[in-house]
Amino acid sequence: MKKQKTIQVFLVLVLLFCILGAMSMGRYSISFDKLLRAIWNRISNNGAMENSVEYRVIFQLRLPRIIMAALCGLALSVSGAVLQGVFRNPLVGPSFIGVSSGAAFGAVSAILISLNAIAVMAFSFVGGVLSLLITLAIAGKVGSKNILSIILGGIVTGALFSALVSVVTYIADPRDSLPVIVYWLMGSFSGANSAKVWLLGAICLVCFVIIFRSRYVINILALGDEEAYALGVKVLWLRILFLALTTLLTSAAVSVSGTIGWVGLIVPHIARIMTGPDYRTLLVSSALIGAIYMIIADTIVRISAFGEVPIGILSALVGAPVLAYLLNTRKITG
Amino acid sequence: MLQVDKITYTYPENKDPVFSNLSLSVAEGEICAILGKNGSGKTTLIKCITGILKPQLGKVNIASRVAYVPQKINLIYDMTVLDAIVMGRYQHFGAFSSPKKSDYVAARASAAKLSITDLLDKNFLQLSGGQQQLVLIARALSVGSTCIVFDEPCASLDYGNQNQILSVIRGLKETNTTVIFSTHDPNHVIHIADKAMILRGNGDYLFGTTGDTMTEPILSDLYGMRLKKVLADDRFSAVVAIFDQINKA
Repeated sequence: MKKQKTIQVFLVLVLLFCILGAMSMGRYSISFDKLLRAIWNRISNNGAMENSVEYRVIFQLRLPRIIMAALCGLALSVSGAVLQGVFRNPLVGPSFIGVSSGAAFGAVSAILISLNAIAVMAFSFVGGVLSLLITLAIAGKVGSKNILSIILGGIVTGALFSALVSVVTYIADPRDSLPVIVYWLMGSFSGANSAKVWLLGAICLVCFVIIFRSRYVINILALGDEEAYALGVKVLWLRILFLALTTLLTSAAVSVSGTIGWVGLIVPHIARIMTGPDYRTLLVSSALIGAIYMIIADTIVRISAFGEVPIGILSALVGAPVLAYLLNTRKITG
Repeated sequence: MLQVDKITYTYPENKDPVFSNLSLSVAEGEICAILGKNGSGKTTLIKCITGILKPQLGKVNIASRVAYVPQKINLIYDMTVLDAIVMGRYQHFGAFSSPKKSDYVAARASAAKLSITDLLDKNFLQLSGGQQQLVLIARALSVGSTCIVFDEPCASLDYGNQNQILSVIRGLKETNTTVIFSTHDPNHVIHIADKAMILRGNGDYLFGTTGDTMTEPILSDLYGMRLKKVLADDRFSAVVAIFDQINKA
């Protein structure tokens, strides 16, 4: 446990370093010296720099975006870690239970009918919850509420909502809503603002506190249904609770950033390699690594020479080889 | 203490029930064995008693919370023995909390009852099969229940470890704990059980005292081969299987 705590302290330092680095990097480069002065001005409530370009770039443009990227990374990684434990399956991520596709369908529907950003978030959220309900209904009809039936229900729901997303893309106006939908589907934090950050932050805080308090029972659920049941765990209800919490987290992340795959699948495995599979440490490690991963990825796409590359593309380009490596080195086992 | 009343259980994918109209009763402080061949439904009956499976017909009435000792547990990470035992306290700390100091005190007390306090800081996965079984029994004791159900507690253990585990189970009688355990070895039954439920396959069963049920004809019929009861040291009887089919071949 001592070694794990040391690694987590190290991860916190890396996260702080990444935040500072991301604040200074971008098309408008800000020296470290000016960055620290701006931060000190903000902390000490000294308005000396408030009207400077650096101050505005840091606190009005970059900071909301960095925090949003970190929160999305946290939300997706913690969701993936919880789902992998609760379903005893190392290859399960938020996209496997259909939530990502459901949330994406909600969002693109809102974009199709030209609703505003808040409505896009709300629709995305409703889509995510709807997909969870359909997944549970299919799992119930399959005959039992076991792990496999829920995963299969999720795959069916995900396929259904992916098809519906394609339908929306097909009928979208190519001169108006289609480019917005396509760009949104590839994921980006370019639309970050403080309202979105507060909303996402509140959802992440509530869900993470509940999940973190349940870290011990996730360990027990990871032993298997019968074992957990024999210890008095209400397996079905807890599994539904964790599904609901991860749906909330994933939908909230997807609603502000678009669909960013791979994070929820890969990051928990990296966290396992670093601090072990015990959920008492894994949840915090996944949250920290997810935040670090997303800040680095977003900073790369921000400073990219080709214009702003959608982060979903970068995430997939990095995620697929990392998964192949983990499978090849048997770091992921059934 | 435990009343199983005319239960029937059929797996969803099967047509025939594993057992039907099965009844048994175990009083406080009694030890009841569930004996049967491989695939006769011992584990299914154990799961019905612990509530893991719900019988389609009939009822299981238990006066106390049941503690369950599985054959083994599939740990996903390196866990100390103390961590494994304290899991038994789940119902005391609940889903949204972690074990408290009092839970660790209770876990240590359970380990002390089985004289395994020297193992508490060791890695559970690096223990021998017998030691792991003792840890799982300590975990069941930490539940604070007066009814413990064991699923084949001596499976894959050598004679020495079987002897140790059976004496621990027998010792539970002194604390008035009701015990139900499954086994495919009649020797385990005759040494520690007061009652036996014999699952004869195809839904057929026989329930009674150990003396009434552990007879040579019943056991020979159960296993489809000759079994003889013999006396050892003029005190302990043992069941010996006669592998005469091999000689005939």
